[in-house]
Amino acid sequence: MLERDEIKFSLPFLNFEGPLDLLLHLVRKNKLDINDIPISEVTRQYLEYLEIMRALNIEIASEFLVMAATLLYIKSRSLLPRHEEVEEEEDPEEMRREMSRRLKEYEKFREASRALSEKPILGRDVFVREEDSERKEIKGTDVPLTEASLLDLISAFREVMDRVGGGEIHAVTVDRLSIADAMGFLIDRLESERVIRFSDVMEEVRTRAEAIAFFLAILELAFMGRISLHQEEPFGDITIISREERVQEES
Amino acid sequence: MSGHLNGQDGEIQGRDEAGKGDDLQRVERVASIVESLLLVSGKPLTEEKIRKVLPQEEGEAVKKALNLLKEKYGGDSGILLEFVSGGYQLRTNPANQEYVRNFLQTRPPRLSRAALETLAIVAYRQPITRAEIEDLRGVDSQGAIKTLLERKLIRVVGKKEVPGRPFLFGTTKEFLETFSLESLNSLPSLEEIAEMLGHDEGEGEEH
Repeated sequence: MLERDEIKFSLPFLNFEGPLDLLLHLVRKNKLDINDIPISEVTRQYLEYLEIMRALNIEIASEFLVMAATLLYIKSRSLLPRHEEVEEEEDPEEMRREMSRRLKEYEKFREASRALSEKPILGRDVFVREEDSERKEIKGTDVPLTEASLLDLISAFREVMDRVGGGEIHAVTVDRLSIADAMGFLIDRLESERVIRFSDVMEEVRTRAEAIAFFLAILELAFMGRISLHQEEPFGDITIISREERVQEES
Repeated sequence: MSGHLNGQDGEIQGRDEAGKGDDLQRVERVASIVESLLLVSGKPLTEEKIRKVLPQEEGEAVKKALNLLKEKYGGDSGILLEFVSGGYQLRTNPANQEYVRNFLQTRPPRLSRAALETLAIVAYRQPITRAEIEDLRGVDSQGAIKTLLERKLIRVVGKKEVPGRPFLFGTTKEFLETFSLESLNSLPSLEEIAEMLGHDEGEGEEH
């Protein structure tokens, strides 16, 4: 949650997001002119805060130290008379102006983020109907399809079971085709064909165990979101469509 | 579907008065359909999508129907019709947030200050690189960017054509939906914010 007190500085020296945040706090707390920052004063206070942080054993990010060095540099340079001949060194006045610019820029975004946190936030202030992830539109197939239900799948399965003949085999046989094998087989086929038919798959089935393995593999793949199942008409054949490509396109 | 809509009041009306009544009935019927669509569509529903379902309806009728629904789902209603992320969406009334949250037993989503700041910067300055974000914030922002990517509030929108070709980040539809924004334009402008903060005007902004 984006709590208000996360934005406020209830514990000022524990809660700075960075050197700019701390500097801004000093400018605003002391009601200083952000366009004309008194470097000596700000530097003194800035270092005091770092000292407190150190005393409290708070880890000081390196950015804080870089800023401290910059502040000290500006301060020392502005105290010294200017050497015209040293051209490559930065003008402290220019650095001070740059500091003002950065602070103002940062403050705008800090304020913008605060404004964002006060918006009605989905999941905190407002809620919507959760989208049914199972029911996504299928694009990129030219077959006119309606989605097949589990019942459709079961009745199609029954037909296959009738064909391979049920109830006759009682001998315990080693399951030659595991569900994982069946899934691998289906994935391989879908990679080359993208769309396959339930009847085609079942055509190759010879035993009850294989049929069951394929049936469960199809269910598993649908559950994983790797495939979607469709039917052109009631009691019609079921089409298995690979969703892999769509997932890749989206991400 | 066209027949369906007109079927109820198929006879030709002779008088203007009656014609107007006809119009209203028609708008009410469209409103009823749109209301159903809004219920089943979890995501914001664009006018374009509504028009696809009702191809024979004029844009005017759809607009009137939406206005009718806005009246219905407004004010103290527990469900509000809001325009977010370019589409219409039924949302719960913020006044009831506590009860809905308790009912759903969900924890409100949390975003750290770092993540929020980073998000605001991406929202205003997109497309933007990580280095540019860190320059504005003055601190390392990798963690914040990672969080925002995971939450799908920002995404990679390309690569900047500079040495190293760093990723460019931009906000997502989810961002607009999460913060109840119609579009990026509904964010207050940075100039407005600067004015509110009492910054001097005419400071050379890069954008």
